[in-house]
Amino acid sequence: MMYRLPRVAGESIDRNRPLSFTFEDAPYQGFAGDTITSALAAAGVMVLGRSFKYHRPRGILSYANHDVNALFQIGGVPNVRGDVVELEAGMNVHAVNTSGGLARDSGSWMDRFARFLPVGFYYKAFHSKLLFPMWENLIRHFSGLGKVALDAERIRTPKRYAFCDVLVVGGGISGLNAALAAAESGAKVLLADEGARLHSGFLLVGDTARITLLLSQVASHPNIEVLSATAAVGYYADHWIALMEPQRMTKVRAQCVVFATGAVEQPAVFRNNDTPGVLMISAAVRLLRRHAIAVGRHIVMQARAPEDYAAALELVRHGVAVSHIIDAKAQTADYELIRRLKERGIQLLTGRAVTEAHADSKGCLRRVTIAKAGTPQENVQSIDCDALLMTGGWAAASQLLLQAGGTVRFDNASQMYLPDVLPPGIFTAGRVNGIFDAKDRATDGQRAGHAAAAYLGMATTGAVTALARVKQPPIQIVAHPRGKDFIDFDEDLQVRDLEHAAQEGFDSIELLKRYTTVGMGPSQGKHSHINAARVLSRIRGSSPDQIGLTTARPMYHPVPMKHLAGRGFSPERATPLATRHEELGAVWMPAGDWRRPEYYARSQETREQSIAGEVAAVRQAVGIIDIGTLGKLEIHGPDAGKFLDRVYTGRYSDLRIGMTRYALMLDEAGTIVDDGVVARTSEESYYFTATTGGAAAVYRELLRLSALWGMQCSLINVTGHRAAFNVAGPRSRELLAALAPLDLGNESFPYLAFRETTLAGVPVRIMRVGFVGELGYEIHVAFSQATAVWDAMCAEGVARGLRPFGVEAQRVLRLEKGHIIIGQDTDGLTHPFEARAEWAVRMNKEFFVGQRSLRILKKRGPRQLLVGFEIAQAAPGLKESHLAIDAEEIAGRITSIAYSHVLGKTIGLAMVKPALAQVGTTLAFRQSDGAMVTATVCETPFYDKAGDRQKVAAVDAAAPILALPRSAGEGTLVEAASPVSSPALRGRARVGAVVADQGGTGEGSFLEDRQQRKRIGVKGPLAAEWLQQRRISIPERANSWTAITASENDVVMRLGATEFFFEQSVYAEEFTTLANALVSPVPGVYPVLREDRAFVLGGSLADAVLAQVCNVNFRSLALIERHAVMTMMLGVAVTVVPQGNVAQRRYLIWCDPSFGDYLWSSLSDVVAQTTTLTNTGGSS
Amino acid sequence: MPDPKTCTDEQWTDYVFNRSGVPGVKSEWWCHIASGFWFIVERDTANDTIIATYTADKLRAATPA
Repeated sequence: MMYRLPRVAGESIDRNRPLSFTFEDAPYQGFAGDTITSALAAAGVMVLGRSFKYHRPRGILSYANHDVNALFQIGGVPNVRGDVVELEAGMNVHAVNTSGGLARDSGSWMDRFARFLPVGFYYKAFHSKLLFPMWENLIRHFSGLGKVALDAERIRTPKRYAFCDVLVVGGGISGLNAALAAAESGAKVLLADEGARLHSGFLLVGDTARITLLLSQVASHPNIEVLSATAAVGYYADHWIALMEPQRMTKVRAQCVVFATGAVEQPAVFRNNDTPGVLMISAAVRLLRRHAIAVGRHIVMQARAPEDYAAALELVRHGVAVSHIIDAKAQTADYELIRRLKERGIQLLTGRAVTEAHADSKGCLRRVTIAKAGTPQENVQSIDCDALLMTGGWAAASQLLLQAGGTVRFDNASQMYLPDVLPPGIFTAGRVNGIFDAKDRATDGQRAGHAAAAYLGMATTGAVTALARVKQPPIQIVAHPRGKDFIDFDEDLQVRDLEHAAQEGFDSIELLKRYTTVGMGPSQGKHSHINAARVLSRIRGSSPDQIGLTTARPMYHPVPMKHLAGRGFSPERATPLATRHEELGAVWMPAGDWRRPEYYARSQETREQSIAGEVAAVRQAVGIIDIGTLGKLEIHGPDAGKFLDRVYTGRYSDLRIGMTRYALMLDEAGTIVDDGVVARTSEESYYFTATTGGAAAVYRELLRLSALWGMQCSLINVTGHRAAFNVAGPRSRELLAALAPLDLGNESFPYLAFRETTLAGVPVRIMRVGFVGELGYEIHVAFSQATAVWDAMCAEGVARGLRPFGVEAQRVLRLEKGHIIIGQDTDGLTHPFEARAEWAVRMNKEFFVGQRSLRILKKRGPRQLLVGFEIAQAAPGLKESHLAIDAEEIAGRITSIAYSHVLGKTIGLAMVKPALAQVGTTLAFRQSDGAMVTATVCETPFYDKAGDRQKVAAVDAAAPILALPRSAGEGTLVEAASPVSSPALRGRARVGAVVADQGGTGEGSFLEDRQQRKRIGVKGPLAAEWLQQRRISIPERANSWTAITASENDVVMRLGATEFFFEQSVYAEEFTTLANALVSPVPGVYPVLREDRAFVLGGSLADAVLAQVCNVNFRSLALIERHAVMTMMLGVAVTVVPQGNVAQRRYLIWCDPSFGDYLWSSLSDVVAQTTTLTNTGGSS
Repeated sequence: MPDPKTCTDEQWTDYVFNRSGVPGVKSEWWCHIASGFWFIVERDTANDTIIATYTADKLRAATPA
């Protein structure tokens, strides 16, 4: 029975602050400074949990932050680690993994059933599909730890980035010395330790005064930041380390790392070595020193090394009764030690080993059996005791080192796997190096600290003497004939489980791990790996070095899921018309980063009716659709046309100015990857579109190709900066004519033409296109002016039957015209010959991406062909991806299908084998329910085969209105769009400020919208020269800024070498002149549409806010350098300009306007949640 | 890239589809997404060490198209 001792020097409990709590509904009391486990131990509670598989009673094992059998449920929080988490008043603590309570766990029958649950049981027993659901149900009930509270409050756990020169992991003697040595050399040091207090592993052993001094030196050193209660749980490339603090995760980028991670004591292996009351020597010492707890009243101890004897003497010194010490060594020649043990009434039994522990009726230790070491049948003896302190030697905590790419080698003298080859910038110190002596650890820590500083190029001192490593005798593990000799306490694995696995052929350490799951429990092998290697080493007759260690993958230490969830960096984009769609009843669908209206819901209408109504409006009158999600790109320069010729299958160098042409993009394998429309806007300039989903990738690839080919052209991506909508229908020209000062006649604005004009007074670009098969115009307009144009169109359109339509109606409309959608009607292997897009391919060009592969594909002939098909009636059961079956073989699949009201039949596209592609062929499709539906292959387009409707000539002669069945939503016209903003978009304020002040202390941060500003952007090889000629001062270096006026708010940034971005609160005179000069083309200087959303982030906590959203060390950037940083923030590309002064910085932030609402609301959130509590340095 | 005009179908197919995954020094295209800046990285994939970085100009200078 464990109990609390009188005060022990250095104890971490506060006896003046008793705390009440309950465990399994019974009341208990501990002290402030107790952990949950120590408070229970002090109260004499031995059984803390039940084991994972056999539900055996378990207690304290290591008390070293990985006691996986002492996990607790505290309220709604499962799996709280009892040896880590400190006790709080009023805690309601329950054991996990029990059925009907800890004491009478009904699952404990599993223990007697154990021999029927051999290793690999799951693989062998549960491969029957029929029985699996039954087994699954049973297993789910008995396995798994803790209960998740489904009604728990939603919280968003913060994450942040941090930076340092040297990260020291581990705050023991060696870690403290390493941190101090590196800091003295001038390095910025971050010291992380999992303990709530530094040096908690082995408190105040030996030279107390010296350690107290060391702790205060570290605490007060300006170059050292200490993170206590913080575990380093994973190492990632380039010294990128996940630190788990109690309330957040910190991802630290270090220049170099010192692992002072220590060593972990291993369990000894004998029968019932998991009995509560059997624990490790180091656990007893920690409980004594930290919490003044005696682990028993009659204690038997194993001993292997001098430290173990020292521990025994320390226990006795504090009045803890140790009766026997059992040492496997045949004898000891240390007569002084024997004398001292005798003096204290400790009986030393040499040449013996513990073979079995026996439990009383409550499952707690009652006595142990010992016998001759190596021959368990001889000298069998029984000793009564209530605690057995065991040791299986020490293993270096090298998990992070292995993750970092370091190697370990088995050292015979110390019987440890010790660091062998260290990667650059990785250093180790202390016990992890096998150095156990306190003085030597201090020296080793200093050595590592100096080495880290030297690695960073800092002057260091200190020669290094060779340090002695610990010596440990080897251990051989033999199975007990009656088993229950546990190797892995997480997964309840016994010696014979490993033996069986090895017999079945899983005899390499990696296979053994995966087959038996040894080391795969919550403690990740921290106290099972070494013993497993020992067992395997004996079975195979190989040395431990040949057996090796498995690498514990990150995260190698338990991490609450909330830390991994946190704030996602997945941006949402919105066109400027999102509010309008919301007002019109849009039902949204995701489209890449965007949301698009699938259709506009109306009262008294089903989804199908609404879609049919939208289709009808386009065919009969006029419809309008937001296509602002399309990629919108510009290319300028002498080689622009040639460049497009090389990246698209068509030819654009011969395109007339003011005309457009379809564009099809292939990859080098000849597969269709994207399409769009190219418009020639001037001799050297083109404006072109890409698909919604493909835009970002297309732009990126074009940038790469332009770099690769070295052609004289500049690409500009205005996808977010421009909005766009398509106005289509027989009355679209009439509608446009009411708003545009432009002759829309066929002569002056023919089909496929491009014009720059104004609409309702706003400058716009208009392309006459025919995607939906009616007279139609794509209108492209600056983001900030889009709503005005949309509103004007809607107001003007009411009388003409205008109706907004969504993506679903557009799909039907384009299908009627037989137009394909890339990615829907094509897949990752489709080439133009299969998609019947030969007409868009100019094989006779000099070169284009995919051309060479197309030559080969053409020779081979198509494997499949895209065909149109029709079914005379509605076929509601037939969907996209349903298969075509021919002679009981798969012969193709449907790529698009819809019921066409205008044609009165079902139409679709299918990819089928060439033999079935002839017009008139009957296709048989299989529905999900197995029913077969037949269809006939037919010509496309299905509707308006001659294409007369989109080319309609006369301005006033609208195409004849088609008669449609009533069900198609005839006569349902749009109501006038309300000009007021919708309450549905609450929390998306476009202007305003968020201020978070920490309790009136002046500590806090603010975020302001900087929307109302004047901007000019230019780009091009001659831009710098041109600006200088006009006596406009520009930054000399790439990615920097200068002020235009006396105010830091008026800036010009140089983005890369050839792009400039001016921003000013008002148009100054030279600013206006500049804007005017760009109206007509200037060779080598191209205007860039800048509709950026802009914010300013400031306040004393601005850096703390940035550290949570952006992985750039802004604090390290000198303000005098005037950086303009292009980086990612919350997943969005931004430009950031740090300004202000050393005491208080502010940051100007710009982003693409389509990300503006997302960035604003996410940043506002972080600002509001960032308080001084979450701002404990790290980024300074 | 082999010359599309003179190479055989086999040579072209090999260029399009076959890449050696054997750990060693690879020439990779890297893109700084926020600025759209492309550059070439010579990286030893066996130990994830970067040997050299340069822009495409240098690549073109070394291998005239």
